[in-house]
Amino acid sequence: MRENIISIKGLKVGVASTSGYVYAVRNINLDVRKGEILGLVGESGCGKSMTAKSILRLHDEKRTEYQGKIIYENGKDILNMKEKELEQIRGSHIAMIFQDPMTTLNPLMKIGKQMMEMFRYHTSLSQEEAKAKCLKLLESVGVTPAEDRFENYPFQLSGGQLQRVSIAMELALDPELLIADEPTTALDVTMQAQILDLLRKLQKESGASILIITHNFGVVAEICDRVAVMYAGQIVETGESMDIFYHPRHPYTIDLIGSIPKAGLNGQKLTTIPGAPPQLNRPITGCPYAARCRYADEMCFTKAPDLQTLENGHTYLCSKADLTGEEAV
Amino acid sequence: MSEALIQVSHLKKYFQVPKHKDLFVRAVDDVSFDIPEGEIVGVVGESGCGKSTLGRCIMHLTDVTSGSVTYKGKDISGIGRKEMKEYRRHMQMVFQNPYSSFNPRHTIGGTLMDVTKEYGMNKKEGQERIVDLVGQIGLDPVVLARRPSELSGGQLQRLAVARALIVNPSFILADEAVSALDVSVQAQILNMIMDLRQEYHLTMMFISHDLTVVEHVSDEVVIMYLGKVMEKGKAVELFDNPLHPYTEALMSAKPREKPDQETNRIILNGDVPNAINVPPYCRFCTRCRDFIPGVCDKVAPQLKQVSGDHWVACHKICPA
Repeated sequence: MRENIISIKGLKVGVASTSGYVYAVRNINLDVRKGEILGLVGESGCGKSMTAKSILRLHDEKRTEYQGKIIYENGKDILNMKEKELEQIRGSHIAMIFQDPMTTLNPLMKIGKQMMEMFRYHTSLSQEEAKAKCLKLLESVGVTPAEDRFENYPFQLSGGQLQRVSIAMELALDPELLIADEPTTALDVTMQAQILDLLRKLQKESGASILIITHNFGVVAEICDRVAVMYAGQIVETGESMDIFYHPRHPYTIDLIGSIPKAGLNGQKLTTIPGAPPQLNRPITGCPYAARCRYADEMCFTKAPDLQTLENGHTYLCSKADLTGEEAV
Repeated sequence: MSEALIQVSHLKKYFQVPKHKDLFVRAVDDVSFDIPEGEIVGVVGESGCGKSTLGRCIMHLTDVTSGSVTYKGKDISGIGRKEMKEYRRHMQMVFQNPYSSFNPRHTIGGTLMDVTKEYGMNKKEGQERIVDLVGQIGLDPVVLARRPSELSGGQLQRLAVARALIVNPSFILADEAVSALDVSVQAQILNMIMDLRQEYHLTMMFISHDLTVVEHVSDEVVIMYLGKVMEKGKAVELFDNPLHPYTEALMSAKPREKPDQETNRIILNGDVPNAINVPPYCRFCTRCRDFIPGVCDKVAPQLKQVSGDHWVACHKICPA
């Protein structure tokens, strides 16, 4: 097994509300291995972005409570690091791209200037060296002609181009881990295909790890080596992509895969998941998915599910050990 | 084949570029197609191809530059506000983002009651109609007392569909109605739309950039690029046998369904070109892999019938 770049152990993230902390991430364990593309999948509100942002501690710390550990490659716990230590990791070792490229970049500042700023902050390159590097980066992500784009403002570029620019900026300092939070959700299918191709290519060249947050199983099928499925603040299933697609074990994963429209099934009924996810501000007894699960029995409502581990490293959080999701496939 | 409920013919919508008298964005440029009664027509294209502008022209939410839109044979593209309101009884719309299409300060019930009032129902009729509809879309009437911020995107989008159905329309235009939703919620809404369609004998136009969704719901499909129709036809035929190089590229960009699925991806380089003063020849030729020099950059291809109901605008498929 490959080494881990990040190892999340028993992470809980609570957000302050008028009635105490609401835990949006509830006791998760997750490893991101070196050189892999890991997909973190789940619906809105399941805590996937909260988890991702916790890795860089991007939450407002006055209103957030962390429990557990996030162990970085060097053995240190990110949650215990001093702000100064963290600054050294952010951007240069662990970088993050966000969903909407239009809001990531400063609309009043030329693309080039924004890119240069990053070099000025993180490195000791001279103006000319930094500019040369920026132009090279723009070319490597296909934003051409680079000289012209360098002088453009964000509004002069399309969404796809801006997402390329933000990828270029994040990769500039050769991070070991790139966290991509819904990087293609705001884009068209054609642009999505281009951006995913680009990420795959850059990952091969640099050997970095990528953690992709997405609600789209299509993105997972496109580029992920491994998948972790999140539901109500917990990771309910992890495994190799192929394994998850062909042999999903957790009922939520089975239903989620079933609800994707597929080619050649024109007009047929899609699988749906009844009800809505549980409210996280109330205590949850038993399995959080029980109320929506078609396999649930009495025990599921009272007893929290155990983590099951299969030989190939496939894990899932369900009391029903005998389920196989062949029907979803 | 059933009669066309809505006919769009030679529809053009140009926007003048501010401060430039002779520059126009040709958002919709000579588009013609029919929406047959009882069918769902999907309109697909990348952002900026003019599909939403086309929708707005059909609903008469914006004036058209030229061409016509007819509803049951009557041209509605030039009629006045008052007259159009009568047609809105028959033609309703569902928008992409339910959070911005409901007034955040009003309760859902209040917003829906406004519609019933607007269309002349009395209070009792209105309430009955709304409670009835809310049941049909699978929600509890308690949601009527809530405000949009208290509901999920899926619930709100159901209510947006219910709002469109209040007046019992025969046509609904859905503009990216499921694009902002999670897959499981999207599946709920799509199933619901398919059920309601049966019940209300609805005719629909379904605008989306998501081919998988369009393939799932549509009977007929129109592929648009830079304001022009590139290809149109029966959904089954078009998805089985895409002819236009742009359609092929769009299809190949669909994410695969399984990690080991083979894809023969055609990467479209660059972006959709600027829609200001588009060239008088094929608009797709700058990104086309089947580009024929001397032909594609000289003459604009016409939309031609290749078989039964399948139309394509391409020099490679239909040589002049």
